[in-house]
Amino acid sequence: MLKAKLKYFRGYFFALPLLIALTLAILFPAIYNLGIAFYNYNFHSQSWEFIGFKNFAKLLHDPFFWNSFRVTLLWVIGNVSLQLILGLAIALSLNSIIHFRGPFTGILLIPWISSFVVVAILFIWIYHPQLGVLNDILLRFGIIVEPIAWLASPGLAQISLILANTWKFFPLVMITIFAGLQDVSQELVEATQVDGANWFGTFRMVIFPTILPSLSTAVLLSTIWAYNSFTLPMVMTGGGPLRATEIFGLYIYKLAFDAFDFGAAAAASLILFGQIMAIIILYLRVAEKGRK
Amino acid sequence: MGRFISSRKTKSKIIKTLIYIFLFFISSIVIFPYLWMLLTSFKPIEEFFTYPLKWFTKNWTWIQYAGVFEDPKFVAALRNSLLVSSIVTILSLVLSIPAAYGLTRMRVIGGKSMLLRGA
Repeated sequence: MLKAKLKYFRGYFFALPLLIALTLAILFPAIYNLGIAFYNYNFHSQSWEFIGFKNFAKLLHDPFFWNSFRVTLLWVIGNVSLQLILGLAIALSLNSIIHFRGPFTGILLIPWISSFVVVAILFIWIYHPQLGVLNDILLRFGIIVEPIAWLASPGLAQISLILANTWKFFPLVMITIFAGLQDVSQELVEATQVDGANWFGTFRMVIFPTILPSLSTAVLLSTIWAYNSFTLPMVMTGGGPLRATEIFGLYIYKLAFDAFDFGAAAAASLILFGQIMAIIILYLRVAEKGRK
Repeated sequence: MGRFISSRKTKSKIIKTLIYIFLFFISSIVIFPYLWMLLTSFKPIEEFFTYPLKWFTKNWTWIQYAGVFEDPKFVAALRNSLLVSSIVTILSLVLSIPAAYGLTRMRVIGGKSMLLRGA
């Protein structure tokens, strides 16, 4: 009896090394983080003091917390929607051509294999008011009259960062949707065309339902990545100007390593975790419904 | 009827062409930052800091590449990158291949939720 039951745990024996590594690398730090969210770190005496939910209360009264909440929301919505529109349009285009599919796909995947720091520094110079090539092109074509300080003006810094991040990230969305498009039944597409459906009709009735799983996977991944972004804004603006690009990752980083308020930083990262978790649960619900 | 089909054919040809133009346009934008980086890498550094911008230099130079490979910091960084990426690849393969085998090829209690197969 016991032996029969043990059989079902044999698989875990093989997974044991990975489980131990994950426990040490992810589970322990996460639990530690959960713990210190309820403590206050005194920098001078280097001691910890239990303060309950005070860290959370402090965050909710911090205008900069709400600033980064708003900035993060805009960042996520901007990134995900741009990446989705671009990725979907390009994937559909790639799928409908026969020649040069390889070269186009190869070029379009280049940003994905680039390092975040390289992309950040590259775009810092592209956006540079005087030496940047973006202003140069826009001036040459007469679209703008004066050089624009893309990263230095609070109104433009966020959208400039979103465009750079979209450039870096859309290939994942594109390739995921492209993979999904390979499952579209050619017979069904032809059947709708025989019945006189226009392109949009075919898309709505056949293509969209088929690629829905890969579409939602792409959206979920790009949402999680956008929420967890750090490197690009850190290198390009450091959260400035005037905290206009201070997404949660930067806010938490500054709390922990500029202000040494480790307790509040831990509490803030739990709130970030909660937001991402809520989105994943929502996604699983929708995915479950979509299958029925 | 014949006319209808031929007009449909020209229409789809136009659409095909537009798709190619769209892909060409997008690919140009995507590759442009890299081309710009490449052009810059062959410029003497003084020309990088001139305003207005010079797109193409007259004084092509390899000096930046030579400089980078002579910089001990760059060589160290390259070595570190190689080391880290090799170790990470080997370690994750060693850890995850048995786990994947155990959790998928054997019947495991809770194995499905472990792999997020429910998703």
